Amino acid sequence: MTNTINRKTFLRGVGAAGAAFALGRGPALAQARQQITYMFAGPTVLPAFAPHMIAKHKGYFAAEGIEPRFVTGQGGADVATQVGAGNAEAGGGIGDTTMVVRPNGVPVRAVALLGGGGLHQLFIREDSGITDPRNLRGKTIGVQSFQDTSYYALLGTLARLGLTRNDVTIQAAGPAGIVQLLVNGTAQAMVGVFDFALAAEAGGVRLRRFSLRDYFPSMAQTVIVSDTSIAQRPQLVRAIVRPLLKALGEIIADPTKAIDDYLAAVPENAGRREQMAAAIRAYAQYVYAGQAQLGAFNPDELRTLQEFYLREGIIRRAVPLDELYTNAFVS
Amino acid sequence: MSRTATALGQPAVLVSMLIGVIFVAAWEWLPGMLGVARFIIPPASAVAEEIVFMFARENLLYHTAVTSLSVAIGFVLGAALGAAIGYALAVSPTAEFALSPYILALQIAPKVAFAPLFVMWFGFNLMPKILVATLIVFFPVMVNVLGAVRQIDRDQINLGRAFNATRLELFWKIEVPASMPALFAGLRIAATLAVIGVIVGELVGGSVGLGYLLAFGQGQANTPMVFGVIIMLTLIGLVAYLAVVVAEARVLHYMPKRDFGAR
Amino acid sequence: MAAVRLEFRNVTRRFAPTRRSEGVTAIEGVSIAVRDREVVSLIGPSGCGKSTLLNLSAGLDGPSVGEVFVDGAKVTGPNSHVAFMLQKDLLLPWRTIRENVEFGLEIRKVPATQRREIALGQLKICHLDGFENHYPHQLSGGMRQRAALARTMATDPSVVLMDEPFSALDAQTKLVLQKDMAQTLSRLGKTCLFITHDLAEAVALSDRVLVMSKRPGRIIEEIAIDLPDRDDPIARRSSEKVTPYLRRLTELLDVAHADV
Repeated sequence: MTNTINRKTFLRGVGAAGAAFALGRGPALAQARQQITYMFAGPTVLPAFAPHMIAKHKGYFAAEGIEPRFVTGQGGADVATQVGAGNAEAGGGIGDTTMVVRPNGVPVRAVALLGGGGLHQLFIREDSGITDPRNLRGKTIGVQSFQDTSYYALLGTLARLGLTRNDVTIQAAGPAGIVQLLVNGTAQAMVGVFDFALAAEAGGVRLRRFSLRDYFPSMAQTVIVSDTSIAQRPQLVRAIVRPLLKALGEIIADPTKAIDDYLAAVPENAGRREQMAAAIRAYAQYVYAGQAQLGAFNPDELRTLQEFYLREGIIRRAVPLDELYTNAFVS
Repeated sequence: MSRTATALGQPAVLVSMLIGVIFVAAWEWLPGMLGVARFIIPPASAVAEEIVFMFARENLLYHTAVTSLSVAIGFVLGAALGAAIGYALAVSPTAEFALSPYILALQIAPKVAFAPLFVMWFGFNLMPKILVATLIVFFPVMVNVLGAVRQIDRDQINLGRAFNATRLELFWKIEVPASMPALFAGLRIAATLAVIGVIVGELVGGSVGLGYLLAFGQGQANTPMVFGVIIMLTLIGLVAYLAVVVAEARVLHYMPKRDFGAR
Repeated sequence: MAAVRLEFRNVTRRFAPTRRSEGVTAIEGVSIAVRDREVVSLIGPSGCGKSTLLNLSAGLDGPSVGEVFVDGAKVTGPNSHVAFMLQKDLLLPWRTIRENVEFGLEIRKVPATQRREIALGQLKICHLDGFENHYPHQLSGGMRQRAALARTMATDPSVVLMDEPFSALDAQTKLVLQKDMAQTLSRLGKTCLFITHDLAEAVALSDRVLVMSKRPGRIIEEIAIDLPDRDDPIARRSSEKVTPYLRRLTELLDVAHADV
């Protein structure tokens, strides 16, 4: 049974890839669609980019007259820098990205927030018996790196829990190492994305999830464009934002259907259907949902976050809030 | 001969300094004049300011010390290992024949690609970056030593043999000293490579060293910091290189003098 | 009759074929006897196996057939009775001239003070006093070859093997060094096998000249040089009696060339 599905999905994938190839190459079929580059902060096959993939697969970008090419950068700041330098029309960051790069003169703003939850969550091993994050004192917590939003979110969370970074042991271990730390029991907890948690659970560890947002304004992914694009090509910005929000809304409304759409869009992941399905359900429930106005930023959250970053020395200089984002393209 | 050197040296030093001044001036003002944003190419003054800031706030001295220490350890280990194995293979053609395919494979394999693996195996400490540096330093030293011992004049060896020298005497009295110039040529290359090895190891992860600061600066789109780190790394490489040059000048004092940095 | 210092008894040396070269017979059926204090020159076309003879004498190589004796003892490996000097000075660039001259003594474990004394003495004989602390690269080609001569003599060998020692020098330096060498050999009473392709040099320096054929090398002629002044080659060269020897050698070498 599984086999049949896999083969069918695979064949469909091949067909889709062939069609995409034909679309990409055949000028007769693609009637003068504008090619744009959209840069991700991680590998394009991560389920975190489901809205982008579904929007492209279902032709939502095409309907706006654009043809996005997805490429991978070296993290949020790199994406912002490339967008600021004009090497990409748009890119993906997290809530704090513009806050970090803007003081260094990178002229970019966030034009959409893809969800009301936080991308990063706190996961604690069930067998540690810890049911309240306050009891993490003395425990080891893994993060991907010390230069990452997840680490900053952990610092903010600890502060709200009445703990300091000296009350716990924080280990930076990289994407593979963080899963390993949890599985072999070196760490009792981690702050990271669902993808890591699912990998750890696949390794036989049961995890308990805690939303960082109870303690700290951890945010979802954002869409970043340059000041120049906002000023000179607002219709292009709209053409990028609108399809993403449409796909986002669909995932929230019907995650089960979104799983099929996603696997059709990213046939490389067809072999890991279970894991992808779990990831998309988790994203839909905990990250994407919860916004009054789909895609809109809450300036209060940004202010709180910026104040915390300034206090912790993560940023040296705060810029006016309206330089960080605009909600002009989400209505 | 030394007179010619001074006569040539004086204007050369002036030209060299002039080039330096022009370079810094162009760096300071040209990007602005051409409308290049500061986050793409920050002016020299911004980088200088950033370096001062890094000393004050980002513990630049500490990170530089950690990286320098790793470079030094990686360099010494790699050079010792490279020389030891180079000599071992040179005196044992059988060993060389048996091992050469594997050594060649390891030599061709891009050493820096091992960095993430080493970090995974040994964790976020000095070990992975020292290992990358050791591995990357190892080959030029080994290859140079092996090649140099190979190229020793057979008649030179025969002279020693005719005097009834033992194998060990031939090694210490002829092969080792004869390979010194090549060993040092290898060490010069190795000194700069050691910095690359360490920085790649540090870029993979961790929270200390200039590689960390580089990633940190890049992670904040703080281009002046990236430039500042590159300058510090260049200084470390330069110090390592000069240390080799000084050691070489002392060991190879019998060689005809040549100008600094020639080759 | 004086004692025989170096002797080849019916020596043949064949080299087995390798992947890169076919097997060759370098020398065949060579019998030579060099007596005490005698200087014997060996001439012949290039590739006739002269260097093979030298290696066999020094014990660096062994014969395929026959035997080599030095001072009546069969040569089975490098031995302290023989020293050689080549066209290349083979001075070690990291040693001073004195240390180079001491090289052989050092390997023979001669105490440092004694080594130093011998080396300085040899350097004086070779007109290099004052240069003992120089490095080889600081000396001219002629001086370096003198240093090589001093090193060769320092171990006090009973047989000195020379392989074209002066062929890389300019004509004037060559004459001076030939004279110095002749005097040194004569004064120290050394026995010498001297390989050269310079016919005039062979006549000027030797008691006897052996002519070898093309490969496989054989001794095809032995000519005794019946002239005075073996310790003064410049004087000997200016004698008109040299001419018949040169003519004879030239003829022989032409024959040797035409042989195959």
